[in-house]
Amino acid sequence: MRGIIYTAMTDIKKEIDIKTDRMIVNMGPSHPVTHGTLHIVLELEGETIEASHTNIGYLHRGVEKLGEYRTYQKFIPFTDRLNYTSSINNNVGYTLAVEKLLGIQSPPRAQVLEVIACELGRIADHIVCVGINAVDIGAFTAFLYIFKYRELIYDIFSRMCGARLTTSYTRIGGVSRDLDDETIRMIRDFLTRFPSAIDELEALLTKNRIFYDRTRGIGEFSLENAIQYGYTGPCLRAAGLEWDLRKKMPYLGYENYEFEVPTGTRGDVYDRYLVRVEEMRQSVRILEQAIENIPEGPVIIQDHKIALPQKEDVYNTIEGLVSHMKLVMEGVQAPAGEIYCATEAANGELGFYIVSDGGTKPYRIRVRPPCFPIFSSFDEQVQGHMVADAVSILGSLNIIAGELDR
Amino acid sequence: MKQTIGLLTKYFGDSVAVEPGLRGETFIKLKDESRIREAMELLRDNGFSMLIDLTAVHYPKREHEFELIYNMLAMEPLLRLIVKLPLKGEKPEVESVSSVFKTANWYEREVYDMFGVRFKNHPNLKRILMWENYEGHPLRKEFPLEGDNLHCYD
Repeated sequence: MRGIIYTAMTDIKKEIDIKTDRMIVNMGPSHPVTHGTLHIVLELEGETIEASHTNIGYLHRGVEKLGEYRTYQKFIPFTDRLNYTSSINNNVGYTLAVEKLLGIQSPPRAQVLEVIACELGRIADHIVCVGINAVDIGAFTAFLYIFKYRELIYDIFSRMCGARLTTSYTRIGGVSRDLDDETIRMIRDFLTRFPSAIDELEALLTKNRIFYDRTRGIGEFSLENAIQYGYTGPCLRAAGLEWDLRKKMPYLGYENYEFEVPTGTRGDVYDRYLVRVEEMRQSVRILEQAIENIPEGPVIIQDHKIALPQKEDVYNTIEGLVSHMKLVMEGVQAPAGEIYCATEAANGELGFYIVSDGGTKPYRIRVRPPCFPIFSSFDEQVQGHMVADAVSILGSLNIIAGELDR
Repeated sequence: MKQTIGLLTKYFGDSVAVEPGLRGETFIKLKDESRIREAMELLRDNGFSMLIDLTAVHYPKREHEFELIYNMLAMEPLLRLIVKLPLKGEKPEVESVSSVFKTANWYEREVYDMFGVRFKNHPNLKRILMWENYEGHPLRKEFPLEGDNLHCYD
């Protein structure tokens, strides 16, 4: 009896395993889930992905080449266009690198303002990542609820620096504008309202059966593999390593803030989602501490060989006029040498490698984008998954084409 | 860090030189380009488990025209080490390290694309950011910033 059932079952299996030709499916370059412009060629066996080939470079604008022809100040707007969902983090990362090259530090007030900017940027980035990832999977509601709060952050940004997206907030040796009382009130207001929004998001997604089934075990990546591929940021933490440059190599006085680094266990899409949500809560914690302890003082370094003097001085004193002219016409004189400076951006380690030959322009400027090494593992990660899972994996890696292609 | 430098000098002798950085970084210059894979393996097995970045710099006036920069990270304790590899010639070729670090696969493709440095034993050495039949290597110093229409996509 048993034998009969067994043969019967194998017969069924034979029927299912009909060999078909592999089908080639193009995802992109223009596709709603590609978050920018990238091209993925999937080889399918039925609904299963057998192989995948990624083509990138559609958004390559030669940022590194352009940087070699511009003074250090003039590169700041280019950093806005790297990771455009959290441009303010790139501004901070770049100016920190130049400050390291020059051997200066921004004043304490500017450092706290930069921390506030960074954490708001991180929240905005995670909102986009988590929200869009949920939309790609089919949970449209969560996205609509949480995106309202990104709008509030952008309102704060537009008061802080005059622009919502292309912020260019920082300058070498400080920040461009001070925070006024109205902006501080807006940030406080945001901080009181946002935690309940995260609860709302979690109520919609974390224990949602459909979301859980679509993300748990999908794109599972071991820690060894993650390290081999150069993962940093939330994706590495989801794989189980407590690694955060804000803790391990503090910059901007991050050692003075109390916060925790969340980690996952399996490194799948669900863990990445959980890590990002928890990071938003931790960012709120940092912001609450920062907003209450903004020191008094200038927001930019008072060295007029590096930062522009006050407008009053430029119009009324000859020294001010001369240093203003020298800075605008020539730029900041940097010592010869090479530095690498890394910060923890929303996506992972954002590094700038600057080679200076002693002039006012960098000899070579290299941007180490966090999502470039992460995306290089995509081909390996999607193998054996379904087409629909490729979408959720892509969303969870948080690929930003501007930063990927530079 | 001293341990690592000691280890490198033990294995590579005169072909490594330690250069102090401008702001406290450690740079190591490896003069023998044929041993880069060996050096990467040694570093990987001795704590430097992550290759954070791989890039190049072009110095057209020097004897060694290109300098590859391997940016290494050790996690426990946190150490950063930058290995520089000077390369001779207009179109140099060097051993690929993509078998040591998987992430080097794309980084090497990018260096090939932007600088024209070729990597031996690379599984898939194709252009990555520019399209396939593109001529020239944009990040070389002789490449113009603005140019003729030859470089437009057709």
